[in-house]
Amino acid sequence: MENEKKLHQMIRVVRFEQKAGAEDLRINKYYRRDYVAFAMIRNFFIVTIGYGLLLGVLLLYYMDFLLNTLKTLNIKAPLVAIFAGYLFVVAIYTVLVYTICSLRYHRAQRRVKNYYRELKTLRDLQKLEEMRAQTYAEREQEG
Amino acid sequence: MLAFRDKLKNIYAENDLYILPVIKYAVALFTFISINQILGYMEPLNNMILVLVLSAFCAIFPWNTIPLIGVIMVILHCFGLGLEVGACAAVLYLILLIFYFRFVPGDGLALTLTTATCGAGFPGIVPIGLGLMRGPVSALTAVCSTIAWVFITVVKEVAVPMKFASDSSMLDVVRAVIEGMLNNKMLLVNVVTCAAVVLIVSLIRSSGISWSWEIAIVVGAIAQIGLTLALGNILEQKPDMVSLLAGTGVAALISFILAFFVYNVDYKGAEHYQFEDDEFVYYVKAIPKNRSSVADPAEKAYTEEEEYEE
Repeated sequence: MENEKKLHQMIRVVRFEQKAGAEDLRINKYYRRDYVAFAMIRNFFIVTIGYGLLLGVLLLYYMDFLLNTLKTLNIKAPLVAIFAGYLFVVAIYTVLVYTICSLRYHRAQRRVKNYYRELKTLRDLQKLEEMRAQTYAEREQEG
Repeated sequence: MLAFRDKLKNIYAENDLYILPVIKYAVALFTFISINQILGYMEPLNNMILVLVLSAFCAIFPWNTIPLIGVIMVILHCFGLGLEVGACAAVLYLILLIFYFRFVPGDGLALTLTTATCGAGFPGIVPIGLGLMRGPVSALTAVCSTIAWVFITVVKEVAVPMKFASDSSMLDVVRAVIEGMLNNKMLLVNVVTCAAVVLIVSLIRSSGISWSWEIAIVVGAIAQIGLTLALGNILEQKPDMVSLLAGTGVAALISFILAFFVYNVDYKGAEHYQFEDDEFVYYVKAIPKNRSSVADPAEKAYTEEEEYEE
């Protein structure tokens, strides 16, 4: 019966490790600040590439307007608009990534805490089993 | 009905190892065949043996393999039409990935399924399906997927004739495709309709009223038709009435089947684990228990008897 209990506990622990918990355990290796900062730095580069692509597409479409603007040498206004747009997009995605990563980290931490609790129960069951085996062996020697 | 439902649950729980790959295979096959039929400009990709092999490949890998291969196929078909069209497709999918799909990788399937279902003439399936199975945030998924679908129609309507007319330069084609996307009134109609359908369906489905998912499907289908007609009228776009009605009808029917399996059967597959301790290596197959929540006394007695036997 105790063995069955231990087996059930082992399955519970393995279920977490091999399914949903794999990602949680990976996240839990970082400090919250490091995890969120790393995600935000990565996001900055990805959004910059995305904005560059989007800008490239729009510049191709508005090429005539752009060429006319270049002729008049009045490029300050379009450059300011492009830079302001870039800052706006980066700011929105930074807030988004910060919120998502913070939530993800908190949830992962909660689940990993439960996992450690399950692991402790398993360790207790293992100890109990070992103590029983030891007592049984001592009785065998005595008897 | 409940007995049938439990039987289905048990069949799925015990045989999901075989059933799931078959479902994935069917979805992948439908998606890839549709993409080839809609575009089909890259000859080697139209080979049926290749499509069957790719579908089999998707059957054994995670769900997201289908959109990954589907998107690559669309881009390659566009490259088959011309370097500049392929580049446009690659840039569009990259923008969608960077600005949206990297946050919801689970919704990736909707991207290629929208292309496949719209191509097959059932545009309502994905918005209603997203509304049923995901939250209101998936309205954004529907919007992005519709943009990808409209891009394909623009390629067919704008880029293909230009490619056959020999006097068009690469830059002309690219600008025509971008213009086709930015000044596309039908894109606006489709985007607003899909987003609204997802929101309506998900709101009704999560409202907790009786028969919520059935009502959600019916109202979603009516909203699909009504909004397409109303917005089409405002923006002076005339959708094909027959295909709109037939397509939405079939979409509603498929959504009923989908909802039956997702909500009534509420299937959970068996889980397989391998682990070891000091003495043994364990190979565990965990089959979920299925219990009916029934009000009917006869059905309740049946369930209790079953549980007692367990």
